[in-house]
Amino acid sequence: MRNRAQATTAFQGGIRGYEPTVDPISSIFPPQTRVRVGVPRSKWIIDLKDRFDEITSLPRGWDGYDGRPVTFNTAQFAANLIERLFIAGVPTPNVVPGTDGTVQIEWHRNQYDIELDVLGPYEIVAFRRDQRTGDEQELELQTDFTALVGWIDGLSAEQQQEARSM
Amino acid sequence: MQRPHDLPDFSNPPLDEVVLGVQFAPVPKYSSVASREVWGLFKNAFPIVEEHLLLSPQFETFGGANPLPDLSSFLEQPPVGTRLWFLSQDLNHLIQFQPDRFITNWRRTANPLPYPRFETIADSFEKNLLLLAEHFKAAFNYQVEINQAEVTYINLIPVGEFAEAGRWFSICNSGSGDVEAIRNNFVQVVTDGGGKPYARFVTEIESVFLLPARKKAFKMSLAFKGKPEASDIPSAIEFLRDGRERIVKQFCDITTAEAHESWGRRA
Repeated sequence: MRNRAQATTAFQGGIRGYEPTVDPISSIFPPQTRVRVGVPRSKWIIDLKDRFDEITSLPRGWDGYDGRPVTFNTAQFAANLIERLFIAGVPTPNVVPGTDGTVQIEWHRNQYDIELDVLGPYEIVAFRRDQRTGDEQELELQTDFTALVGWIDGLSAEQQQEARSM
Repeated sequence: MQRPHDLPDFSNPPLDEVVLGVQFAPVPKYSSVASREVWGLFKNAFPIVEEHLLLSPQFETFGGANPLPDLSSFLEQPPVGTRLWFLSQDLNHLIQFQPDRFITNWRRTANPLPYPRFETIADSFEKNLLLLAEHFKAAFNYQVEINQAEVTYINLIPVGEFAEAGRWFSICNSGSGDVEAIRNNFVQVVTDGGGKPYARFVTEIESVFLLPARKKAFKMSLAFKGKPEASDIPSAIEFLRDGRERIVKQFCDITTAEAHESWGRRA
């Protein structure tokens, strides 16, 4: 709740002189007393929080060449994407920084690969490969990730199949 | 910008604040020392400066199992910097600037004056945004690429008792008992002609106490936010214009005829 309020006070910080009865953070707090508090919701984000802090703190040239750190905005967008796609029971993806400041979100499981290349906010190249059938699919996405839900479900199905065969 | 002739109009709307804003890719190599030049663009009309915390980036995305993820501040190390407020002398007009945001607010509460109307605020916002874009181009060789826009209307409706909600809102009926507090929020996904989602419409109604006398009121916020069709300024302005029309229609849809009469509905 606190996070949501902070997100909206951007546009409400100028309002003065009223006091909400239910959520005092949404309006009455003076801006200088607001505190940044992270409230990660899914297991994936909890697992990846340190990783995100790490990839946004990389020094320039972190790869031994001219590698750039992941920008705050790109990291936030990638985290938003991960949180949106979360399905309980599906393993946490790997998050890999690109040398050009991009972020790759990857699942590799039972010969089934999903790679989401976050080039920046609203710039995603998504790739899926089923090594057993040879099926491949690539999508360029901006705001709507509905198509990816089926892909992630595929990982979940793989997991169920694996569990049944054990 | 011309007001659409078929848009409902009120002589005395309960409007307390109107906010227009855009978010863009951060200006490369921008640092705080450059902020004085940015203020210089607006200093004549906005001579008062305040510093505030940076706003986290916001992204309206769709699809997936979690309908409303919000991780606006989950990283330990947010960017260094401040958000600057440039205020007009009467405090009614405000520009908010940070390296990836440009926002303008009109506020009634600072100094009660007639509402200048959306067209005036939007024209001023566009003019100032163009000024900023020209400065970025000249100083940083940077072309503004807008990735998010938002228009918000915030209304304050003074009431005797919160149980009066049904008199003002057609979507609220709090019954006959003594009502201590009300909160009614809902979010709608807005799609284009092809059914593709591109924006969210957030409606929030809550009971509040007006300070300093702690008089009861309802606060109704109507926000339209999302990614404009293209990253240029005309597309952002078109997005805001579209959002404003949706807000006015939503305002009429969720408030009662009795309320419209008290606010002087003209069309």
